[in-house]
Amino acid sequence: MFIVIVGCGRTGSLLAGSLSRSGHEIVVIEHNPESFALLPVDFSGFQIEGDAAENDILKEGKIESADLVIISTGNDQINYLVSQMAKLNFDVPRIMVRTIDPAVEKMYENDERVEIFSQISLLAENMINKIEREGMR
Amino acid sequence: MDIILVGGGKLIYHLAKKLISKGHFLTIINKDRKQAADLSREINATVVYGNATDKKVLDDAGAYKADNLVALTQKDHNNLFICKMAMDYFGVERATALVNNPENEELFSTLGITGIFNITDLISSIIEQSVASDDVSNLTMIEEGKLSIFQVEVSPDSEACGKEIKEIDLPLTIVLGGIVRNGDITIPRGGSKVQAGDKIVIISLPEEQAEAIKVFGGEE
Repeated sequence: MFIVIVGCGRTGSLLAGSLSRSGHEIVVIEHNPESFALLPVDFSGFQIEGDAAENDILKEGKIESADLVIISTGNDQINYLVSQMAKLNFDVPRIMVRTIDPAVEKMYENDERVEIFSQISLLAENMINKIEREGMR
Repeated sequence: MDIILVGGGKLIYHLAKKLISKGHFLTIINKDRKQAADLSREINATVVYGNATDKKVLDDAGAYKADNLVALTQKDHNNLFICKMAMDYFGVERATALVNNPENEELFSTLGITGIFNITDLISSIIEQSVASDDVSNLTMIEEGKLSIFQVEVSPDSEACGKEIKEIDLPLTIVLGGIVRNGDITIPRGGSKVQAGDKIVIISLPEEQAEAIKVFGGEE
């Protein structure tokens, strides 16, 4: 698969490293060049330095031919804008978005082709599941 | 009307004063503590200190009863997000966003933002039009600058001077609305002759305005 990842922080770089290792073609877009240092040494994809909220930067990353776009910057507002750009300006078939504040989840309701991954909700669910499973013993 | 303004600086200050004087009820959201404090002292409006991308802050500002929200921050992603939140979470009917990157205008309107204020395009078209010489006057812009109507005085050394309209090489999108000669107006036809000193009323797209001015006004 050809995957574009927006944001190369701890989450983005971890995803980029693992997906590149399992054979996917990866482009990472990040505005702070120092963050590329977080990528593992065996990362074999492309790095693009720039603001992903600009159409020209997304085009440079060949986003129009991406099978999947993963948006994982640390800013909910930027993530929302870029997800809508990927969907409406570039017709990307599948978009995964990281959300930080659980209050923003509702923004993506009925948003076709966009799936959200709420870090706080996922963490809480995991813990609750574990507690409840152990409580049954 | 119940209006929420998001942002800071002189723009918000003067906008708020103007809207209050027209009898609207205003709430301003500003995320800088000092600016928020200053605004609350200077202006007769409710001022909420906080980040408007936070749902709780919009709630505090009374978004559920607002008729109109205007997001005027320097960041397009914040303006979009605040407007969408106001509409989707609080049922605000009209939301206006400042668009800093002109490429975002179409996207914002597809996403249902009811008012879009495209500052970059607006200023650039005003600059282009003000560059035109003294022979150009009566500029009117329609639909936020998408069409302009103006008047050019025909210069003796221009390409058009002494020619009939049909002989003049003009882009098809430029429409001539009238010829003013000694105070009389004639509606131009293909055979109308253009003389030096005539004033030509022109309707055109802003990007073709310069071409029209060149043909009738003479200079570059």
